[in-house]
Amino acid sequence: MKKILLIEDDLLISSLVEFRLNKDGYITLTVKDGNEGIHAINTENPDLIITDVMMPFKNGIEIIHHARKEKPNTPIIVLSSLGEEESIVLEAFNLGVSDFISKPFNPNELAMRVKRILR
Amino acid sequence: MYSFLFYLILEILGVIFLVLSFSVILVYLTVMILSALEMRDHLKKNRFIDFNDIITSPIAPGVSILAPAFNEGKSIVQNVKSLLSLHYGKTEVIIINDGSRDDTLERLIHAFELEKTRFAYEEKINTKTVRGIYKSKNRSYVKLIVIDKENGGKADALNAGINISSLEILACIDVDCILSQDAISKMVRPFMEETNRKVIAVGGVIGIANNCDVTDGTVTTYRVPSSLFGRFQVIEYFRAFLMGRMAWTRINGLMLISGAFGFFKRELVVEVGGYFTKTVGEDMELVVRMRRYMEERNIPYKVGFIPDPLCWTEVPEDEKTLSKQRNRWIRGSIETLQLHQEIRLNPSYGILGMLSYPYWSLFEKMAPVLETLGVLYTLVLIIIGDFSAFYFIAIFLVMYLLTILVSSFSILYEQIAFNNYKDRKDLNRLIMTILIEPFLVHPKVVWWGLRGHWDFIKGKGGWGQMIRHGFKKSEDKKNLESTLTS
Amino acid sequence: MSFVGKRILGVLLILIFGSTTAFCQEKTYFSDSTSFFEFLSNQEQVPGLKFRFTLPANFQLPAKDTAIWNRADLGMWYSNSIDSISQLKKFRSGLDSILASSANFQYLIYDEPSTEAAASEFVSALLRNNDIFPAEKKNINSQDLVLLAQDSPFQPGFNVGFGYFSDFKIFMIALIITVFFLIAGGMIFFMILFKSRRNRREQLRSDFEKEISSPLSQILFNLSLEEIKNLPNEEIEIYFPAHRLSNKLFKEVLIENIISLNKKMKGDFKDKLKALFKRLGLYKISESKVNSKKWDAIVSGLIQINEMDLEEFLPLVKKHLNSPNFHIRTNAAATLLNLSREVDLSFLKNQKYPLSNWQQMNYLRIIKYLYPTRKLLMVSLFDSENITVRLFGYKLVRMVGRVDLVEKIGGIATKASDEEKIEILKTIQVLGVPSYTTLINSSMQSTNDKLSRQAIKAAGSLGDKSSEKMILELLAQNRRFEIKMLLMESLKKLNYESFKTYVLNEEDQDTQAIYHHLEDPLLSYV
Repeated sequence: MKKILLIEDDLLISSLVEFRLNKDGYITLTVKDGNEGIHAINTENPDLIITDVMMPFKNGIEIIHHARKEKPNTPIIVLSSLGEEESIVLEAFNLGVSDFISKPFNPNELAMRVKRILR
Repeated sequence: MYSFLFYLILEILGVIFLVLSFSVILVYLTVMILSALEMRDHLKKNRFIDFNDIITSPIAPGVSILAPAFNEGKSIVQNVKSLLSLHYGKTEVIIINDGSRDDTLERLIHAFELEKTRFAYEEKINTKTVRGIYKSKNRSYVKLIVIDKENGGKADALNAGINISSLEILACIDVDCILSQDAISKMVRPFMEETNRKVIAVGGVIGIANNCDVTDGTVTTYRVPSSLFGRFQVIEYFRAFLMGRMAWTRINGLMLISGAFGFFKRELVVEVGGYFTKTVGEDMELVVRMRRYMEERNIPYKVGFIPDPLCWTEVPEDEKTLSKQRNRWIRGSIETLQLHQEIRLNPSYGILGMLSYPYWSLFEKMAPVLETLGVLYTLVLIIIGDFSAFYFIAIFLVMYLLTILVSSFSILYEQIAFNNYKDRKDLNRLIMTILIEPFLVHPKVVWWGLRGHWDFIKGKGGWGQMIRHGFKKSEDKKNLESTLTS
Repeated sequence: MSFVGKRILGVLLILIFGSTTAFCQEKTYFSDSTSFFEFLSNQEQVPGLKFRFTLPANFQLPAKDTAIWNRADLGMWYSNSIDSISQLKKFRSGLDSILASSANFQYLIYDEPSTEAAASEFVSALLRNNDIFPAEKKNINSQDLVLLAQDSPFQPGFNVGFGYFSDFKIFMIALIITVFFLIAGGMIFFMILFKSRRNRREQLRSDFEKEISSPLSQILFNLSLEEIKNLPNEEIEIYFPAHRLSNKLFKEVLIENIISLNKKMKGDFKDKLKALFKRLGLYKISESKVNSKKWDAIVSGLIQINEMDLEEFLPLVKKHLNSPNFHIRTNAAATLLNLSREVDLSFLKNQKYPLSNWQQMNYLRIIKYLYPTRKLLMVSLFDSENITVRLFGYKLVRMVGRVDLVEKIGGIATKASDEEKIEILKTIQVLGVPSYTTLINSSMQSTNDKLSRQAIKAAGSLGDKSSEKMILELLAQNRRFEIKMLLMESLKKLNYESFKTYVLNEEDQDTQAIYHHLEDPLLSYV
């Protein structure tokens, strides 16, 4: 069973995404801010990271930096309310994230992409 | 005959102090009510606003962030990085190295790959010589401009930044302030909401970062400072920002926006001639001058205020630095009021002249003097055995209770609106501070204020004659500087 | 201070000064007989006042003394009258001890025997009327002036005193303090109550939120749109217990969560959320909110109508379009935009209030979002009476890229105000529509600083030979630095050769500085 780390400060979104991913048979772990996210990357060894870019304490870029350094092979999906043309998002792409989904989003689509990446 | 005069003076003073005491009580009650109303409206409004919209909208105004730096070598790079990462679309970050004697400039050049440019600009406001204007080769720092100039003080540095800035709104901040990521989008809102009245400036709250945990430019855990002076300032800042300024905003009478975190319409700042470098109260002076300018032209305008906690700074906790700061503040007030004595009780300046100015003269500028006189008066009454001493002791008691009341109220405000100090122990310590502060800290503050008055009378630092005369019109500052330099 | 505050202060002042009364007619100069006698001995003589001693009628007067004592018809013995204090003292010391112990002292006013009180009053009256003046003390040199002044029988004619009214004053002060503390105490009590209530609500809220997330997920992922629309009541019970659905706060939290999800979701989830909202009957709350009196309730009602596509309430929304409350009219307009079948902006045309940037930002966001799928009717904006609405119209043309409307606004420009010209020029420039050089060139010459600047910028991107010529002409007029910089920048864009030639021929400092600025690669991108 694959383990997915979800870093998202919106409780409702995270519970919805979790529900959807659990349905597909993944184990999910949700944290709600950047610091917890960094901690979870270090200790939980997830197979995939889904993260927002704007969050309390640490922004997504820092998390991606950290994940790239500690777990260079773990794929990352960015889930963000910012548009793709935003500089912060471009920076994320430069750091080598696997996919980018902008809010508003469709959880089924997210699940599909997760499936594709983890196949 | 002499005894008659002596008693007459005592009696008149008695009446004056009585009236003053009652007006203090009334003013504070009014302030409490007004600020409560304003806070309620503000919180209601905030519920409906998605600040993310502002960040990306093409209609949002551009913001030039101006941050003067003087001997900030140790922290400058980190500070500039956090300024560059604020969440806002259209910004430029202008750092003004005000002739630092340490390696501030070198560190900036190294960290941000800066190069000297041949920036051409018009010196609309006269400043000390600008030695160079730097920009980065690295495109990720395209928003950054660094000005290197000869030392001329904070106001002069800001003026240099104003000359070079190009965007609609100026954000004047202290470079060592910690700004929350959404600080700009929240502060820009009042400018965007402008309808009938021009919004000329918006002020913000300064929080106290001493003893708090700060991670990546955001205060993560709030703790009250460990020293009494530190805690006193926490309460004082609550009182000033959450009550005082909120109340003044309610009636559009705000006269002071903190120099550490203030937003202004660039056009107007340039129009009135920028900061006045000859006063130690340049932040207050600018706001008053801008307001005068609008009043003199009868253009409806507004000075906004955002009470959300968006900016934090370390405040001095040692007595020496604090006393210097307070001395400077009171001199700043005296100088500003002197410079703009023309508006005093002048009905053509509306609320500014009829309410803000007299209030500031009586309750801010003269407070240390009046308080001292009040104490002396009571002592005299006790010595000559006059029965009225009883009343004055009663009044002092009321004043003490009033202070406690107002302070506790401002803490309640903070709790209701933002609830940052979550630890019960912290709250208890703040309440303790409220109880003892009037005896242990307040007398010192009064003393520093008196010293400030004395220093002003001696003509320290200021610009004696000129300031005593004052500006007859708000543009006088501009004309004055051009005659000086030509 | 508020008006009411001033009034209260006024009343207070009257109360304080009200106790000030004039007392001077009532003044008695001598508080007791000692002070009276002291005054007399100092004065030595008072006209009209004399003294004598009396002895009882049965007193056995020694024969040697009969010369100074008289009696009439075996009545009382009385001495000769004495008219000065020193004589009185002498007389007294001349009496032997038996006589002295039996003798009584008597005042004579105009030779009539009187009591001490009468004598004292008599002297006081003389003093008051300035018929006599107090004698100076002998030992004047050893006394200080203030004490001396205090010693004089004169006192202030009026008395700003608290003394006389002291009871009333204590009462007043106590009253004020009490009132003050009652108000203050009441306020604090209210605040504490408010905070604890709020804390309780917050706690409930977060409990509800947790409770809601699971059934919401189940409904959204396990049920189809049709199933949600026709969800039987019993099944709703399974997801949300009935006692919860009758709880006001619970419903509020549910609405908030549905709306916030709706903003963040895409595709069929949006429809499902809306269907659920309707099925649960939550629209009734939206309706009552829009009809509320409180502005914040109206706004949140409008937002619900907007997000949940409650088209049936559009008439209610329209009522709020010209509300004096900024937030209400902003949201009403946004809702109307969002829910109408075509994006008809004509309702904006009649807006009375100036359109703030805030509103423009909101409308623009909605228009941009809807424009690709719905027809956008915006021409009416140009005819609005409200200048801010017209300006928004020109801005919109630019921001949604309606090149087809440029001709229309280009035509308007010739008759428009400067402010409008600026916005129109900006639009023409950004959309890159050529053939407006006449407009651009004439605007460049405008005395309105902002307009000429915008025109110069536009000339840089759209100008032709004639604009170039005009720019050179304007440069020759040696204009201000900022204008010069803009002119040179546009010239550089139009014709680099001509720019170079200009710079070579002009050697003044400004030109050279601007030239270097424009040629600096670090400064070339904005």
